[in-house]
This record gives sequence, C-alpha cells and structure tokens, in this order.
Amino acid sequence: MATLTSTIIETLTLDGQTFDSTKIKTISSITQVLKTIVECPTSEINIVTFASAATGISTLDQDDVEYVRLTNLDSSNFITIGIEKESSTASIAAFRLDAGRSFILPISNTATEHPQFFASAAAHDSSATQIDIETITALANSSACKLEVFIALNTTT
Amino acid sequence: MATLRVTHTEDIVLDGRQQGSTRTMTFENIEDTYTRTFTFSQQALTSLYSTDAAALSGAVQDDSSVKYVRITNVGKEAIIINIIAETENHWAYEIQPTESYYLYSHNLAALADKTDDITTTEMKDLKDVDEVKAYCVRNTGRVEVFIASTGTNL
Repeated sequence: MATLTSTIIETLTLDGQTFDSTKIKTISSITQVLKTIVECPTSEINIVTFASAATGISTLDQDDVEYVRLTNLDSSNFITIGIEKESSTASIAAFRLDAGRSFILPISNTATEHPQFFASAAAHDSSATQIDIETITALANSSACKLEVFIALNTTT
Repeated sequence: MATLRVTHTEDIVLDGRQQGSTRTMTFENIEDTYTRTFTFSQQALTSLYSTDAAALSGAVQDDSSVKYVRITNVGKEAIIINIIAETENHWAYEIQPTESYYLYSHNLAALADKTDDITTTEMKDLKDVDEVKAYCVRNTGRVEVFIASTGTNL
C-alpha cells in the first residue's frame, strides 16, 4: 500500500502582488494505479466504467476508486467530458476540457463510498440525491485529441 | 498582465517505482483576480460567484474572461458544489475537507440532463456557466474561492 499525495501549486504575480497558493491532498491505502493515454475521436467513447465489481482493465469496482484525473494533451482543441449514469434514471453532466487542462473528479475517499454526482436540466434542487457515476466518456470537438487518464485505487482483492 | 502557472503533481511510489506525474497549466494575459475565504450557513444554498456577459461587479465575472477557478473546501464538513449553466442545466459533486474543485472556461462549457442520455449533437452544444453555489448539510461550510480572468469585454 502507498499514499498518493496530490499537490496543486499556483503562482501569479499581478500589479506587484503575489497570489501564490499550494494545496495538498493525501490519500492513503492506494494499491493500484491506472495510467493511460487514450486517443479521443470526434464521436463519443467510453473512457472508464465504474460498477459493483471490476471486470477486465477498464471496468473498475466503484468501491475502490479514490482519485481520477483527466488531462487534455492536445495543444489547441477541447474535449467534452461526460460524467454519466446510464442505468435506470439516466443522468449526465458534460463539460468542456480545454487543451492542456486537467479535470480532477471529486471523490469522497471514505473506505467504500462511490464516485457520485447529480445532474438536472430543470429547476435547481440542492437536496437532490447524489447518484453513482457509472461511466466517464470523452468526445473531441474538432479533431482527435489525446487524453491522459490517471486513476488511483484501493483495491484489496 | 501576468501569467498564472498551475502545477499539479501526483506523488506515489508503488512497488518501488514512482508512478505519479507532473502537469503544468499556463494561463496567459491574466488581469483580474478574485479571492475570498467565505463561511456560509448550514443547509442554505449559497452563491459563491456568478457570471454575466456585461453586468459585471466584484463577484460577477465576465463569462468569456474567466480562465481558472479553484474552490477549496477549507471547512470541517463535506460540502456540495453546484455548477449552474444556462437554461437551468446544473450538476453537483460532494467536496471533502481539503479537497478542491477546478473550473476553466465558462463560455460554452457545460451541459446537464437527468432525463436521458445526451446525444453527440447535444454534447457539441454546450452552454455558459452562469453561477456556482455551495451547500453544507451538516454544519456551516467554509470555502476558499480563487478566480483568475483575462481582461473583460467592457
């Protein structure tokens, strides 16, 4: 087992003032890392799937997922990332990941809590129930882009 | 004008080998910043900032100028971050203490739906991010908000 330390350092000097910042998050009990670079076409593809049990290399046990980072490695084009639940009541949150930018999926990091979200296209509802994320998808906007995927797991079996 | 550099490092040694990585994002031509550490009431959906194309003020950002946003949970309880796009598209995540959430472009950047899958056509028709709110179920919430923007279109 190992500890993952994620550090974000911001450096900015504007009008003689510094706006520097360092944020550190540690996640213990990491046993596996999935790190890959995927070519995303201009049609939507599945990047990773979360399920109640792991299957093969890209369907992960949702209990084990502790950290997910996606980085658009392209120099100019953006990728639309989809955070999806496909079974029963389908939900999706899609957002633009510009060239060179990274997205870190918020994850609860308690022992077996799943990556979750909620989405709606209707009136705002702050009390809506969070639901499990089942799939992360990607769609390159204008031409194929490379996407770096980094996932840390606390798998014990 | 200035350049914001954001360096993201993952450090993990597994099986005797470093398996982390470092990525650096560069944001050129930064002219405006907004920084606030903010405490908000329990179970009150609270606006952290909003965007507009013209009517700007201290916490109202130009949606085409915002390039980088970090929202860090500096409180003791988990909070919900609610991202709201045009036409009431919105989604949310739970953010644990010490965890940060990052947003970049707010212009034509988001879409959400809970009724069905989104088609490829819809995924290419993204909306502006209009507002970001926070909510804390169990106690008062506390967040740090940092926004860096290029010059506005005033």
